[in-house]
Amino acid sequence: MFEDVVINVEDLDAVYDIDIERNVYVHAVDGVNLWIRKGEVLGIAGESGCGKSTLARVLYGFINPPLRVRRGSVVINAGDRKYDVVSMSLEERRARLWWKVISYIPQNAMNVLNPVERIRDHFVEVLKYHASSVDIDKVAGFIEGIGLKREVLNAYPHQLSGGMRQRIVIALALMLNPRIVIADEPTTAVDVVLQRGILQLLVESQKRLNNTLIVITHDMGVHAMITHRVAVMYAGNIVEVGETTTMFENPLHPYTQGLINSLPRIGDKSTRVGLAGSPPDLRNPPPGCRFHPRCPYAMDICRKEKPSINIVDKDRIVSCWLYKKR
Amino acid sequence: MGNLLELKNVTKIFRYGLFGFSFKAVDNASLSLEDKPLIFTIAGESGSGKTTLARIILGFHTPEYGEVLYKGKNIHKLHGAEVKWFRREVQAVFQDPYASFNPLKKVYNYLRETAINIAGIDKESVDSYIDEVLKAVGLSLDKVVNKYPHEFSGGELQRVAIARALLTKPRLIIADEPVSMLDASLRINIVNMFKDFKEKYSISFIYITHDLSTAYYISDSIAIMYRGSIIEYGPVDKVLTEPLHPYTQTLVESIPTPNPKARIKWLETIKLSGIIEEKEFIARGCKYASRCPYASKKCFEEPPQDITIGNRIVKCWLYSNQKT
Repeated sequence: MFEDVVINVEDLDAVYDIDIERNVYVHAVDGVNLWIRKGEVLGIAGESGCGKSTLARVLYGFINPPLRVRRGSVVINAGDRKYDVVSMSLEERRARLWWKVISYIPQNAMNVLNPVERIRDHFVEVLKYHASSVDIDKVAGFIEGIGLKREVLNAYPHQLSGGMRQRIVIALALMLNPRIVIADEPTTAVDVVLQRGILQLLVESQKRLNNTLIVITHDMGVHAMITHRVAVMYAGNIVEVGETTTMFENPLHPYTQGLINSLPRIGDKSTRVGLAGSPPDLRNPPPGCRFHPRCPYAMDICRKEKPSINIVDKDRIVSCWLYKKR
Repeated sequence: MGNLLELKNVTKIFRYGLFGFSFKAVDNASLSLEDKPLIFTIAGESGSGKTTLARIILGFHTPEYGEVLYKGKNIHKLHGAEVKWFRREVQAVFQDPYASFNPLKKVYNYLRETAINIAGIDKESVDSYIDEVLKAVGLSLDKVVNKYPHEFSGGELQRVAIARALLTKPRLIIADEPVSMLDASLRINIVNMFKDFKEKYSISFIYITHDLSTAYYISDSIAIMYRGSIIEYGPVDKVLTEPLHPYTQTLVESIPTPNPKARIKWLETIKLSGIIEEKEFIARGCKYASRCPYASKKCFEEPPQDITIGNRIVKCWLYSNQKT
């Protein structure tokens, strides 16, 4: 693979076990291939239950039952050496990868701080385990760098507003200059003005550190505003990957088309149409292409065979029978 | 032409604790809906008072000051048969359909009860009537009849909730964040339905949302709320494309649009404030003053008055000299 790839995902297949004896599971990630470059902002898009957060968890190496990786690999390139996340033990991931190489901003980040610890203790704890020294002045400088006052270090989480807590969690994730930052729905619970501020903060630090930012969100507007490339997921599959501007101008997969065309915009009252039906139950996904029951262009082959991956152009991949060269 | 609904200087005060802190969740709100089918949006961020206002209009909260008139009648002073009449005329749809239905009760029972008790349909024809209404929302009785709420997807159950509201042949439906729990591709189907019902059944909607894009798409008029006050109010294509109030301007600019070409402007750095929200509710002057880039001394001291500009009302001192 290329030199600048920081994460390489190959044929990844992950499930949530429901009943192991009867082999019942939710097939949340199904045969995903993806490579993520150094210095890019990659978006993972898709609706609730499409497997995007599960994919993020596996990339980060947070693989606990009932989540189980059945197949495939996730290789993280840490510069001096490479790690296969899936085959590492939890202790190894914690010691070698987390915070330093890859960090994770969880959903509802404003609620993850320990309510009985001061903000400074959160920073001290991370530094103690993962850095050579604990320098609280450096932390204070860092806090000021994201527009907060030094005094917040002495506050307890409940004394800060949701937006401030969210910025603290982002600061924690960025503190050790990780090569990769994963932000899972970083702004779902916040107002638009704050959302804009937080996303600007994430993008600015990505530029400054020239690292990789992976943003997971259902909000196509957010992808249009901050990502370089977008991977669109549907029912556990990546259906399309492409450069953001080209994808928004010319979405190829019928699902991506539906997703983008269903969004109303201020200044445009033309009639928008949504997709029919709803996403499938991943305990029992439909055969062939998982999107076929909702697809306006579904053909016979779509109902029987899984579509292959078509490389349409440099950086443009679509998994759909419509684009199969015959 | 008379008004369908009129709010006159409505104020709702919430108190914490026995002697504690009190604030105005809705502060002197006035608005009116003409008696013709239209969609009126009340928009605002969390904590703006939009849901409280909706609950006042539904009669769940009684305001401390001011009154709400529906077809000329004060809805907080209805008696006897008038209550039932109001329940028939004004219906509600809420954000979380799973929270609206009792999980242990089949949804059909709700539909049947509403049809018989409120709409007054007789028992023989009730099933065919329910089926007809369910078809209007893209469902049918046989798809619904034996199911419990958890057997529906969020989008389907929200359709059932809308059908339940339609059963009484209402004149006005109050929809509080009806699509914010749904995925984007399903959202548009629901709001399209509202547009459709406005035309087909002459139903007016009060659409309460934080999502200005869908608000623009479906509504005729809009009121923007901030910390309990209606700060701008008028036709939607004016308010959202040429916003007057500095808050509306920031709000509209900050929406991430699905158009990468708008990125450069959107990424122009904004300053995040560290203001405590509770303090804004009790601010003496304009509640937005501490965030407003144009704030002057007056803004901190005196609450701004409603200023009419064309067919719009804006609550901002910036426009105090251009009365028209």
